[in-house]
Amino acid sequence: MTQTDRVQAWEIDERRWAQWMALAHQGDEAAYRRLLEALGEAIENYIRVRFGPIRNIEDCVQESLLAVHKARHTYDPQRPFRPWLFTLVRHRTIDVLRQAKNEAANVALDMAALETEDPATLHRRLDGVKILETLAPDHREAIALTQYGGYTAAEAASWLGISETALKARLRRGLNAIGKVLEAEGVPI
Amino acid sequence: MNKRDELISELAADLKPVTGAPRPASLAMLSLIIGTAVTLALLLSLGELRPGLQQQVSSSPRFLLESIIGAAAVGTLFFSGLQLAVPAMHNLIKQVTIPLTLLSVWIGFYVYGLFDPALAPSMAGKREHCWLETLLVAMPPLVIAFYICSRLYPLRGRWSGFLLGLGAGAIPALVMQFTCMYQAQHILTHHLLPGLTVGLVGVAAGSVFLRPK
Repeated sequence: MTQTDRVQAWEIDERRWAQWMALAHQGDEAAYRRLLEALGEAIENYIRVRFGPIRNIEDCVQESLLAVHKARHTYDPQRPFRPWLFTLVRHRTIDVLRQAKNEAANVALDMAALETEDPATLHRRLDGVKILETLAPDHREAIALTQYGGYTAAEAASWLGISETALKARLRRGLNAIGKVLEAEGVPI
Repeated sequence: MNKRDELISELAADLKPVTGAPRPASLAMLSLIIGTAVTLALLLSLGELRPGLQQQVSSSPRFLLESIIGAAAVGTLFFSGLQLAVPAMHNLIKQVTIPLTLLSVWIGFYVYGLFDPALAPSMAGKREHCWLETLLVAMPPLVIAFYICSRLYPLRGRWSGFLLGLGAGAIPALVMQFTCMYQAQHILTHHLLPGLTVGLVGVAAGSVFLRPK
């Protein structure tokens, strides 16, 4: 998928979701069902990027869908859909994670990968997870989207509902934080 | 059918039409009007307007400006408190800057008034328990604002509670400007301080009552 395709898909989703929610406001059950199905997938992707690999991701997705349902009356069809949606998702996910208490137990490494990868790759992955965990959520999100997800700064900024300047600032701070961690561990940068 | 699909089916079956998106500005205006009307009714039932008020309003532009800034502070406090209860990528600092700046400017007028008052200090209209009246009379506007806020989806209950509490406390403090004695120190300690205390009540109440249901 090229960058142009991704931008177009992003815009199509935005318009479609807003349209479906507007129809749901009028009581259109079919449109609402289509919206929730589409959002389930988008929310799951968002949580993976924003919070990393967590074990109870399905709980977070379902709680977020429930929050969307309860807060649907606060969505204004004249305003962008994503900032409204992802604010709800972020708050609900944080609540679920807090309730889970033992956050350390929530970090689920990909066990299949652990078994198949060579030791050097495995150590790089483990280090990557460990370093990303030390970052503030905003910084981790910016890095995950641009460095791992392959999004441009403009796309990532739109996706998060922030300005490109703010995204770049988060990215810079996140990368600086990673640099400091690596420096402290004596890894040449 | 997995659990997510089951949930989606249940939520879709539970769908009810929604009438219009919430407008925080309109809701803030509604809170302000109802809160002020209730406050005025209560305070006027406990005492009268300060004698000579009309002449004071017309003769001192600074007194009028103080009152306008106070009203603007109340309006923006309510607006920001309610705005935070509508999910969006709010920048908290931006949300609270304008209302808290206006509130500070309003308080600043009276601090400046300690040295150069807008009106000649006078005991005319003094109420015996104005600080207590301010505290108690702030409760109905607080309850009204909380009720309106709770019907949205407050994700930052403490902050919404804090801003709505300050707004609700500022209403009787502002009305006291017309119904109690005018003297800067008295206004600061007997009207504004109790009014601002309601902000703390708002924080505590917000953490309990302003939660997403």
